[in-house]
Amino acid sequence: MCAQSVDSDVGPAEIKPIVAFHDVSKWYGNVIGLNKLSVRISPGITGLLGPNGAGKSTLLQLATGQLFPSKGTVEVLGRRTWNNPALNRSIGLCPEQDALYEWMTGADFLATCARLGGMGRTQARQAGERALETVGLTRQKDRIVAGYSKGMRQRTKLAQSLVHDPQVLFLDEPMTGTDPVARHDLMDIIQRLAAAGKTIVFSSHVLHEVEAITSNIILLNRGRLLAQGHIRQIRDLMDQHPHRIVLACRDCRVLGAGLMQWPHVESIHLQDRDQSLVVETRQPDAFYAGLPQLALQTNQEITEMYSEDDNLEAVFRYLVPT
Amino acid sequence: MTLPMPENPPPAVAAAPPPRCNVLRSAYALYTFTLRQHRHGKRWLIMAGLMLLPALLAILTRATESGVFGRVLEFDLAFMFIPQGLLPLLALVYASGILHDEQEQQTITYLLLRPVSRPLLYVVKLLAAMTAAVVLALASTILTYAAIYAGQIHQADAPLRCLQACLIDGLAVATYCCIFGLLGLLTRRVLIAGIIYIALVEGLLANLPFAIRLITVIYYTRLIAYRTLPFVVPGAFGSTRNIAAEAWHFHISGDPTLSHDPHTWVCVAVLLGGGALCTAAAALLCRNREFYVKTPDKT
Repeated sequence: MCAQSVDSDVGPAEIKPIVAFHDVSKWYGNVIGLNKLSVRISPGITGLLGPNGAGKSTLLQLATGQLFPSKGTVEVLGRRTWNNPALNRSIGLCPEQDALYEWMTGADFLATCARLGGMGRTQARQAGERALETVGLTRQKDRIVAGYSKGMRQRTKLAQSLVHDPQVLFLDEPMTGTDPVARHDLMDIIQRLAAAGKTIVFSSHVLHEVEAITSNIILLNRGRLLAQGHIRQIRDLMDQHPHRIVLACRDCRVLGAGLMQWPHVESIHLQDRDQSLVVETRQPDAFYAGLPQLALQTNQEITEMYSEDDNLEAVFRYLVPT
Repeated sequence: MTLPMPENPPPAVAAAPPPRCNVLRSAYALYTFTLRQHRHGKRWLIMAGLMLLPALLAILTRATESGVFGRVLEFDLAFMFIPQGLLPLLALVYASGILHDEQEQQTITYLLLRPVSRPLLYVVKLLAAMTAAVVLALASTILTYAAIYAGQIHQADAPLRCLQACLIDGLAVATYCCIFGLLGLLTRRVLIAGIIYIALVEGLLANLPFAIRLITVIYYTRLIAYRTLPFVVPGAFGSTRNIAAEAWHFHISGDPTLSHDPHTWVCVAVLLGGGALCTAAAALLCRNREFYVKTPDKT
């Protein structure tokens, strides 16, 4: 495991965690799903991030009581999740798999889910309609699910997780396979739900999706917790890695020659036909402090500057060994 | 190492007590939903077609054979073909995939996420499968009797016999459902295992004239049928013969009342008790079973 692995067993003491994993391991025969994971998730939106096979779905299935931890304990809202069906009234899961009862209409499916949750017929129908309205599927509610587009299916799955008005929502790759418009809509829905007071834990292996919704993330890799917290603080973990900063200016070769004199600059690459350069430095603060002066000295107007490390892709590139 | 949380996190949500549990309502919703599931798809059409076979055979036999004796036809179709050939198959098709089908179609998640315990989930879905199978079995029996006795006004006791046959078939198919439901949790290759069970246990062992047949469902249903229905038909030279005793290897020559075999109420209790035992064992298995819907990537 890489050196940046963190063990965040303890969260801020004053915030009661909604979801708590204590030293949880999960094995599927010889395959490790989760490995000694301790994590505490507080209210708000938390992004669960990791490549395929990182253990995201395992974590969500443990949190929703579908799997039994091989070791350790899993608690949601202070209650054990395994064999605790009453807890299902307070949690909802939007599963990853694209499976629905194809012969049902959206409204029928939602009402059935609500009835399975213990609601009466009328109450269930109303709850289903409310959930469909929340995800923007009211107009298509009477269509057979088999005829739904991918985005509509994702919305339907999201609606079923909401139909009983749970406190905590677990969303497993909710944006998978959706087009940009549907993705944007789903992101909007998730943020509205969080604003309405729901605690949301959602997983994704697409970094910009997570970044667009929340800055509070949990990084998983190979069943282990890699890091947890704010994206910026996670980036601070990477100080031992050279930070990549992209600069665009009129004559990048001149600016690059000046930068080569700085001891903390590790490398400089010209790109886009010398229209921009990528600088790797181990001291980004010193770099940013000295750059204006250098630009003046070399008479170079910097038209664009951004750090590639501000993107979660970079976080992954550094923290997840390939 | 712990990283600081984002600035101004939302206030902690107190763990609210769960709303009042209405498990019965959930269970009823699950039962009706499962019945609706059985109504969709091709399975019930195929099974309905199969269950029409005895009635079609009766019509065909009566159309091609003028002197056929109704009671013999009844015995062959309603007490041999249906209970031994069709009912176990019907139960196997309906009960073997109670949860396995949902798992295969990856829809089991929607059921596991509801406030219904796994054992209750299994039992309710078993009851729904049982209902579907029993309805088909009863329809098949009634149609078979109608095909055998239609137009035979001298067979006044036919409706009563049909009712008794329905009760016996219903009991048998319900017991088979319990057995195959359990089998479905014990092995992934439940259809193969079920067919082996039908052929070996209910086919071979039940027809051996030894005590080993006491472990078969068909033995008890035959015994109930034998004790409650007359199967005496005219034989050669004005004599009579009991076709059931001959076919089922009941030793009535030395023991005309079958006093050494279980009584009717014992047979009913064995079938009900066996079914309940299988259901309890399956529910227990479900309690601690994980239903994987996604194979994890190799890590």
